[in-house]
Amino acid sequence: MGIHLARAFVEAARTGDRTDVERLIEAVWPDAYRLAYAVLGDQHAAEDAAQEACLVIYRTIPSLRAPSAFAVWFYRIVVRVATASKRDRARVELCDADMQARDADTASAIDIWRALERLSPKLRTVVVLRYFEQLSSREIASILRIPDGTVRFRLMTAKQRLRPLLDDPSQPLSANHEVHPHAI
Amino acid sequence: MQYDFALLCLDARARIDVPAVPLTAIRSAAMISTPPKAGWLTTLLAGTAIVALAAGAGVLGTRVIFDRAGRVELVLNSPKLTFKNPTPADVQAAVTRAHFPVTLPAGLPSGSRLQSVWSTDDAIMLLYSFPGAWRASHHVAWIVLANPQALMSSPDADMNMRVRFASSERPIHWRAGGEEVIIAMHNAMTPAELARMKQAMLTASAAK
Repeated sequence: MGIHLARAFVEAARTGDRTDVERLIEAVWPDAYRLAYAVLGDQHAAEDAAQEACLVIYRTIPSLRAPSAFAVWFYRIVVRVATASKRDRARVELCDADMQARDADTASAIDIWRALERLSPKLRTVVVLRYFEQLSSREIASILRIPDGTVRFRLMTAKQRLRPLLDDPSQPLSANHEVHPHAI
Repeated sequence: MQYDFALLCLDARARIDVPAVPLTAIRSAAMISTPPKAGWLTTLLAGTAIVALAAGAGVLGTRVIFDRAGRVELVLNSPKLTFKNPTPADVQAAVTRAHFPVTLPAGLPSGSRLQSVWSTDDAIMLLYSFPGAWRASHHVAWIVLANPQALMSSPDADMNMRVRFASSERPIHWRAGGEEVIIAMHNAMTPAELARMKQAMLTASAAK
């Protein structure tokens, strides 16, 4: 994965010139885009968010004190930019006459993207980091700056919410599968 | 679970088509010096220059003035200002107050954010912020929805609150039904985004 290969470039990018930074950006771009896409579920929004995150990395890589912390730092930036983008989009959608309400009640096939839409941003983010990015709960806790136990609880909650959909795609979620918002 | 969720996710991740890295855009944006993050008031003032704020007689209505250079100014009488993060209720209140049929902006770039709403009976000014690193310092635009009857070619001597857009570019404007749509500082949007927005608003207006 690019993010791990990129560690070789990190030291050079921190202390080197623009070429080194751009080599690092090229190396991490696919991971940035995939992570942003998994969080946002939209191609254009993901491209914008990944671009924004890479810009932050481009500008601030010299201030990264420990090259070994690059991966956590990278994930944190992408997740932060992507979730902010998601929040902003939700705010503007209310004013956009073109927006169509999305039919999220039933799914006609096993579609992981439709399933992820059922999750709140917090649950979706931990699922993406755990199952798309293959990170441990401890790593996710470090990225999101939340306790390890909270990460594991959110993963469990997310799987509980997704189970009925993945077992039977035509079945809408019932109230029994709703999770109390204060518990998350 | 009936399906291996982890494998499903890995498969989905592998199927994501990654576009080419927009290195030129990132480099260009990074080369622009980055001032401290602007607050809402800074953003607002970057977009407009309030050239006069006088205690008018209160009888003057809203005026939308295109000067000889093609630039636009607005004279607002007792505007209601929602400076920061307006809610849908704020927008709806502005629409309800308006004395002309309002078609709200549609077809905006994904991720656009409404930052401010100024409204009078005859004009609604909406400040939008657009996403994307490539936009760099040009990321806001004012979209003015105005009553065509408020359009003028020269200002009155008396005024209540006069707003001139700081950008030197001529605004883009069109009329749809009983509404004049004016996009000031439109260099925050690409020609394709502007065309998409215009088409969406014309369609929405025609459907009313």
